[in-house]
Amino acid sequence: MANPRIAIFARSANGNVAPVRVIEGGRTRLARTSHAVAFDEKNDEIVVPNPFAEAVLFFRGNASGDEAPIRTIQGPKTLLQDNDELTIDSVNGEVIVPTRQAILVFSRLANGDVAPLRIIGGPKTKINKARGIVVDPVNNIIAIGNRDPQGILIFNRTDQGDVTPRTIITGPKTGIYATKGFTVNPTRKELIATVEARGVQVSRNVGESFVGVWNYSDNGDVPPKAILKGPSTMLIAPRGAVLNVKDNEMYVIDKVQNGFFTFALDRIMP
Amino acid sequence: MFTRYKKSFVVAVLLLGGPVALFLFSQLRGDIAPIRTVQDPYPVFADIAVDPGSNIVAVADENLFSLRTYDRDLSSSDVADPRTVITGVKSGVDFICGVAIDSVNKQIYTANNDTASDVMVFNYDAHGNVPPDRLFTPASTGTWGVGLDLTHDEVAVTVQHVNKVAVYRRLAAGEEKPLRIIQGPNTGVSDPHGIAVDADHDEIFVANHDSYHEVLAGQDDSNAVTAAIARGTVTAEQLATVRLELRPSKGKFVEPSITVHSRTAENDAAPLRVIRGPKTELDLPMKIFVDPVHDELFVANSGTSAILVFSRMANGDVAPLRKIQGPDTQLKKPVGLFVDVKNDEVWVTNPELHRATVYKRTANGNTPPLRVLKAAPDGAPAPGIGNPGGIAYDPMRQQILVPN
Repeated sequence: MANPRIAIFARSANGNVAPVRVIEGGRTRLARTSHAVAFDEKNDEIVVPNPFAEAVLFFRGNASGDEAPIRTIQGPKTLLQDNDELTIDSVNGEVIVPTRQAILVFSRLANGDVAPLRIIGGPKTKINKARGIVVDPVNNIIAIGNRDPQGILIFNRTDQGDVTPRTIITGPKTGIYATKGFTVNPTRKELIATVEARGVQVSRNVGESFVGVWNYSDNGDVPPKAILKGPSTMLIAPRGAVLNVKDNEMYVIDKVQNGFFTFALDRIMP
Repeated sequence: MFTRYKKSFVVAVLLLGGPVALFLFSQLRGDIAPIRTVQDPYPVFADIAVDPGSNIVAVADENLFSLRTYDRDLSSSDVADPRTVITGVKSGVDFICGVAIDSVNKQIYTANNDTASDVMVFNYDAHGNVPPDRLFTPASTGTWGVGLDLTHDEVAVTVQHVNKVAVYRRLAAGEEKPLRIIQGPNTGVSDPHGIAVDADHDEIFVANHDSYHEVLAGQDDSNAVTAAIARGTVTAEQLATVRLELRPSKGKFVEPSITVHSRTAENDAAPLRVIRGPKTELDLPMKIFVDPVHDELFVANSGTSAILVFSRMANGDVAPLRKIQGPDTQLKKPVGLFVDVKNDEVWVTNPELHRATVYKRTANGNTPPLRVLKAAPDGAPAPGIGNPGGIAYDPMRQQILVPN
């Protein structure tokens, strides 16, 4: 929808249903083009980027209506730019924000014009035109989608500066054209990526894009160990995914379908 | 006889069992259907434009990716039947936002927002999955508003992502460059949405939101390559471009505003006037419309679910002359707007209600609409998901979060 907002739905929502609440309005400081949102379960907060204002916004977990953020990271020291995505590390109290060429790590409690705690960036990192990011604070990895080389770069969570990735998943067998979003299953040490097929935003072909599952230890030209792909999935341009292991569900948002889909997790990853 | 039945049974098993087996096999390979889906099956009206002479209303539908026309004098209280629906891959109609109508040449202009930021021009009678009469691309991503100037044969477009107004020949097509741009820190342009060209007074009005990051005049969108990847059109040369270095962030929040520029302003020229401040009540201003006959400026003020009307010459922190607002108006987060001077009406879109509402041009206060153009049955829910990119799960409340 043209209006900037965060719509919040019941887990069991199905069909044409209204959200149970919406965060929207001028006080929220939201803009469109927030290509990620994170929920901090430990601290009951919602974190969302605003790339048009080069800001990161934190809301109460139960925020509703025209409610102002409780903290905002913004200013020259932050180095934020093209920051339309992020991921939250509740365990270590950090919010991790990719630009297209680097990964910026901030304290979760940062507010105002605050420099990142750490930066992963430089030629050795191979980060270039990155898209999609996730952190696993249990197994201490950060995964980021990359375009050149085309694939997924995996770093140690505490990496800093111009470091080489610990592994790179790339090559024709991976089936990756463009990664868009990630989620992780820390127990199984699995990385789940939404992968958009070339040109689907124009062709709108159903079933060419996919959600792929890789092991953290995968390196090189490795096909996904499990895949969600095909016309039955209804997926055209999957942008983000998130797991709800307790209820055996995965939620996938689709840009072209203007909706989200719930899949049974054990059907994809038995 | 028995053999014939046996054969028929075998054929039936093959006919029925084949697809079942195929389905089961496909499921094993990951072709798994979702157990639940959340989607809106109805059109969601973004912007609107009216040609009273041809009795046509043109509406951008950002949910089903269609450009629709309806009869202007439609009086039914049911879901409206469109005259035409342009949709499909050939049409190029994607997540469209702004709409403008050319009543002289009988054409409709609409702009794709986000990844596919084309401006497409269709003839009034276009229908179905048909290509536009012409198309041009003002940006790599993020076009929103379209303003037509039939006096000078120009069309002006806003680009959200790079705080830009680009002015083209009306007949621009293909890779044609703009005649001029308004862009830069002195312009006051910030996450621009609606645009209106007042050819009578040689001015351009722009509705600006509160999110600002510095973009210099003529500066390209740093996300151009990412957008090309998303469209599947990226080239090896684009991929080989130099990595961007980190730089001090230049983002900030500003007050929402309406900036008024000389029609011929170029590059980083300062606006002639700025409507901004608490008295204005501006809050997420979307489409704007200049009525040169009555010297008024109309604003679809999404943040307060109101239509604000200012003097055309308003400047600074000034209160609106009047506003349409209140529970009887049926306004909810309005986005599109058009003033039909001939019939003395103002049209407004309410995306979260699947409808456009029509008021007397001079309506003031908590005024009910004269009539309603419905895209869905009364009470149809609106998930309100548009071009989404992210998703999160709140296990405490068992809720799913989706930002636009």
